[in-house]
Amino acid sequence: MRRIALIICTTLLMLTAGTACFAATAPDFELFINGIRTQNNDTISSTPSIEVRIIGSSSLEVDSIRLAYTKPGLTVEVTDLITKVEVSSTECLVFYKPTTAFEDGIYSVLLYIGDFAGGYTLFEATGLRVLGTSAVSLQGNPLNYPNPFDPASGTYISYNLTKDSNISIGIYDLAGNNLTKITRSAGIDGGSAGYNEVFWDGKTGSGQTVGNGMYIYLIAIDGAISGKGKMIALKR
Amino acid sequence: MKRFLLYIAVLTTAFVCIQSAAVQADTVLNPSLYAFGARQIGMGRATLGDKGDPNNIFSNPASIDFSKYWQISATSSNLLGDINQNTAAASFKTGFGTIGIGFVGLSAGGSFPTVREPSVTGRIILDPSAEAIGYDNNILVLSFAKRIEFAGDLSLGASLKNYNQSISGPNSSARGTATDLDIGLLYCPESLPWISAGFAYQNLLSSPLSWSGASTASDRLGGAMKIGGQFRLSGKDSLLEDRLGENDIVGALDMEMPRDTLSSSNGTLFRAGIEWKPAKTVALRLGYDQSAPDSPINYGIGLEQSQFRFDYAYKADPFSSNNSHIFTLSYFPEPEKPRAAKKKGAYAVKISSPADKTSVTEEALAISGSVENAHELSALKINGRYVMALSTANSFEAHWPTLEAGANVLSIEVFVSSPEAGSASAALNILRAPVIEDVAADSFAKDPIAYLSNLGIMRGYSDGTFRPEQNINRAELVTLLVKARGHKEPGVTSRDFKDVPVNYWAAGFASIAAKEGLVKGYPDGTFKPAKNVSMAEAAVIISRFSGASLEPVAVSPFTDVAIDNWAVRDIDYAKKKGMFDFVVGTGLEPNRNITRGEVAYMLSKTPLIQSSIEAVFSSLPTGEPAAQGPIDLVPLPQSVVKTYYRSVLTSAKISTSEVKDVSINGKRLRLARGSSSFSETIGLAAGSNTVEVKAIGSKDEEIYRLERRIIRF
Repeated sequence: MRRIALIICTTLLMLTAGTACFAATAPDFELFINGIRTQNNDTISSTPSIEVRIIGSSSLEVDSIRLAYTKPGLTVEVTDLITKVEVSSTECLVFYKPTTAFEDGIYSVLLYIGDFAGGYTLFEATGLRVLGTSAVSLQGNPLNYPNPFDPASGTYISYNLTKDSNISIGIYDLAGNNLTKITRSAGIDGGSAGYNEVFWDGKTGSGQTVGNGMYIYLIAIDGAISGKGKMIALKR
Repeated sequence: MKRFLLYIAVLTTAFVCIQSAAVQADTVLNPSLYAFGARQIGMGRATLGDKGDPNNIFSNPASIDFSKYWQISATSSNLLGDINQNTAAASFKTGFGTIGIGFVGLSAGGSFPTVREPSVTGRIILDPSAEAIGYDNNILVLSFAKRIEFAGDLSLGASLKNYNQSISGPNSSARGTATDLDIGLLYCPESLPWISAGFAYQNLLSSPLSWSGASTASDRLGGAMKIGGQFRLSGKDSLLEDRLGENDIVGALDMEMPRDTLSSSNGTLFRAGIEWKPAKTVALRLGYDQSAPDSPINYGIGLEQSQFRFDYAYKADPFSSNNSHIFTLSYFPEPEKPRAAKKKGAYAVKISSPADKTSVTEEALAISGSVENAHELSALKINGRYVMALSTANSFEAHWPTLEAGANVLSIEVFVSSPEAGSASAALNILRAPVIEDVAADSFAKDPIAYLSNLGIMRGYSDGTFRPEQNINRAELVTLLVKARGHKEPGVTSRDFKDVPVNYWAAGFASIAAKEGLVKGYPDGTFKPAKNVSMAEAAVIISRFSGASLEPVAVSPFTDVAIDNWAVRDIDYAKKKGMFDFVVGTGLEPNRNITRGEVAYMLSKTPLIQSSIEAVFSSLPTGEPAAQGPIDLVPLPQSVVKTYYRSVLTSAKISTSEVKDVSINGKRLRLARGSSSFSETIGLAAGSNTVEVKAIGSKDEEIYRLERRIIRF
């Protein structure tokens, strides 16, 4: 069903553009939703702030850019509230933020851009899930990188959220002592739906760098512990 | 005191030097700071003033010397379902202090190595080529504690700790080791028996944890200084005792000043807890632990049965849905009680000390003994008065405070509670004699001299001495023997010996001695009154005094007395009668001059003197002294503070109708109408014990109070 909707949407964009689909060197696309680099099958926020970065090898025809999103049974070409910023002749940014929240479902984002040589390129990100009403906020197991990590350099803790949430990450030793706590508000970096990374500098709340050993991180979403992980500090 | 202050100064200086030389490194977990049993966790981990629990070796090693016998305890807890902490602790009492051994083991696995995804997103993913990393953190603890008396009980303790931490995983295997020291003290003031105060300094040396393998860094373990106390609010030796009933309520409060720990704050922490025992076998606990600010309240319960104790603590830890459940199982063996058996024979009191007819100089007398065929004693009377006595099984130790000068007959009546109620009596004859300066208390001649002096046969000198080492001449010896036979100083009209003129001071005694066959004089007609008496001569003269019928001797009684010695038959007789029991070794030295003390000893073994001593006691009546005060109880003297006995027999006669109840260590003994006595056996715990007897009047007023503090080893 998704595939059929995608074909219809692609065809729509191509026909509307009235141009054959070929290009000498296709530009690169990077999709960010709420500031998070997003890829196929990611979970996204129900109030996504969509940003597409386009980098071409030759001059881009910014005026030709068209943006659409789909969900089963619905294809919407964005005509209003879309902002196109030409950073340079070969790079531009496209911004769009819908005025109403997306309902739960699986979405795709499509972007068409033509070039001055008469070709065009179609970018598509598929399987983007909106789970705004899901009871579960954390998807999968959180991880940290590097692991083992040098406490002097710190480590990144990653996790996937189904929806924007207030996040609190507590770091503990194995005796249950709280070393420090990192908090992120819903919707901002670390508290957004989708993939998040938060950095811990390897220090306790009193500024002491931890020594070698195992430490626990607990991720609390809106006050409830939802995920945990164990990390190893090892000074090389 | 100066030496003590010097020690303190040296220790303080050393401590400052050690602390200032501490390695500046990163901090790792020191599990010994968090090793507690479920009982302690239930009380908010306020343990500094706690006594006897073997788990205290991790927090205050001084505590373990208050333990009873040996004990062992094991604790298990789990965090997050896969982080296990196991603790084991044991303490063993020895003759020179208490030794403790402990182990803390903390282990967890399942920390997965990660990589960045090799795509444009660079997301963190599991490293598919690496296995999970594990972590172990173990501590082995060896402790020692010993109590000293210091206006109460002061226990000093130390724990030597060996740390061993390891990380195991691909390219990350490392091991860290360190050794450090905890010190602690626990003080139970005599004047405030409901308080015990503790102090501990953990990781005194601040030794670095040195890593090897994948990491060669050094870390610091952190430590803490703690001070706290425990307060008995209700029950035995408590602050409020009667007002809150008989059930034990114990409160505890600790203050901790951590240093270099991993906690987000190293500020001062407070802990408090309370334990209530609604029954002897059940304890309920509630604690407040500030070191867990998100969930400071702990709960606990303890169940005791058959020397086992099971403790459980619930701690709402920061892991929310993974609340901690801590379990401890402890074993506290008590010495085996004698099995209830049927009485095998009649009860009989055996006095082991002092020996019958012993002479003493003190007014007070300690008496110890046992009751044959008894298992447990309940009360003891001396001369009809109830006496507070120490007891273990069928043995007892009592004190009689008022010996009369001269002969005393003590009638000792012991009451038995097991295997059957009953009683037995014995008489003890004691001579309380004046102090003779030059007769040592442990002299073999002490009792003979006391008795002969009391009988008027051998008196000391006017300067208060007896001169037991002085030789005795023939005139002196025959004089005292003749006097012992009841002769008064006779007048002398004719000379019996050439060298004894009629006006010689001992002429009459020498004459009677000759007539009664005690001495014969020398072949030349002389008596040689000034000649010192030898050992052999004394044997001859005293055997004649005894009226001995001598028998032929086949084996020489002493190695230096030939079988054909002129006095061998008398010496043999004297030896058989125990007159030479004071001789050390196998030789008599028959030609050596005998001393006054030795003569007194030999004389005391003669039938005449023995019967005279018997007569001294048999002529005395044994009466019941009048009661003194509302309760007629002869207490243990204040000086009795140390004992190996395990219970106190406390019985008394009520001498007045004013007494409504009697309270013994807080336990009310409601007296039946018309009852005139009570009896209670109070067990003594190891360490300091207080026995308090109170008589309560009809208006609940205290009309009699007796308190004794007894330290049981």
